[in-house]
Amino acid sequence: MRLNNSDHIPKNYEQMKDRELVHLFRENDDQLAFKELMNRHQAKVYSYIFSMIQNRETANDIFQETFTKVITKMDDTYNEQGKWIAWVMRIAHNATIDHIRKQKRFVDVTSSYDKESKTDFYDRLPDEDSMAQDEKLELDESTSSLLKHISNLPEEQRTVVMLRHYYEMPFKEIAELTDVSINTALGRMRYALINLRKMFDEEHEKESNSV
Amino acid sequence: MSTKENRSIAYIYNEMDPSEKLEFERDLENDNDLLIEVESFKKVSKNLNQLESIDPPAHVVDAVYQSAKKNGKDSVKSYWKPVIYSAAALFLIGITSGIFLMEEPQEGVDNNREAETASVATGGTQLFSQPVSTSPPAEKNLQPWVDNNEILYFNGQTASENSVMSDSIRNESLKKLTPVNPSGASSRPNQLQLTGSHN
Repeated sequence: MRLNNSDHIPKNYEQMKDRELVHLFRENDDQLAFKELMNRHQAKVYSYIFSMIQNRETANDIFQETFTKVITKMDDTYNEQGKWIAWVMRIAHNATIDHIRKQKRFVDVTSSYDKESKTDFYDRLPDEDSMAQDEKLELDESTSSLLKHISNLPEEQRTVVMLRHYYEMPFKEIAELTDVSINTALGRMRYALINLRKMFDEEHEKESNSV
Repeated sequence: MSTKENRSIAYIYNEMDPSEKLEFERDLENDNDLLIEVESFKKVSKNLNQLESIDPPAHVVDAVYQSAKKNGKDSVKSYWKPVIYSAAALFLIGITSGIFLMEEPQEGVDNNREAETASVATGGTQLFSQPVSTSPPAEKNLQPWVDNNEILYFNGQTASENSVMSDSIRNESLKKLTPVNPSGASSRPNQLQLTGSHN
């Protein structure tokens, strides 16, 4: 989805490739080129972060941190031969995983997962922000339900699912991003789909019982 | 590329080589369990495709744009940084070499005072003198001596006005020396070096 401020971006920018826009931004400090890049990718990057974190405020912080790094490090670490968005996603992924690991230092979330209620530590927290978040974040019912199921997946499986489904990233790139072999990435996807299938079946069963 | 149990995933996400795909589809026709697995994975994957993208809040995006603008301005400022650093470095180098050049002649004089050398060509023996001392010279205390390697030393000190006397002592000592190779048939140049100094 494109933001309103994209109206100011010239038409020819929309037809340019990422690489050309990156070049314009780096060489000429072309802010419109950067806006066009953001318009193209911001929703997918944000969706990935949000789906991994499941917290609006933290997702906002990580999104901002990601693009601040993108802006400041583009001259030093981005090689224009590679895909710009793959580089951005690596930064977003690392920032997200860093955050999750920091959280785990204080609370072992996986060990607090309750199989009966299918809730983890965060679900059971008296979350004062959650109402405010729900008000702000208008997700359709199916997306909301899916995200809830995905959030119950182990981190490694969740990462592969989100990179594949939000970003349509090839497994080879997912493997590179997560520093595993392609077979491991495929295996994680397989277990993720098996787990999700179980969750969908149980949800379906509950719904049919309640009717 | 994919192991046997991951083939279903590679198949439904269209990440198989054409040959692998053909082989897998052949297996699907003969294996009902595999077919059921693939169909169930397809169903879950179809559900996941309903996931909608979530837009970041406008204020977050604006903050990113501001950061990009600010960084652009900073990078313009940083364009001049190398020029400023280079100028500062050149200035420092200039000052350092100026100080060095001003001090160098004095050091040269000191060095000349400390070590004066002379060489005398003789027949295959080397002569060395002891390092110079800055203590007041004695009247006649220059003693020649020869070590096991037949190197002639002058031990002691003499005043600069006694140089005639020290020269006579040195010449007398040289007369007493016998050449190591009297025939002079050595391939090496016959040269004796005398290193010494006098006050």
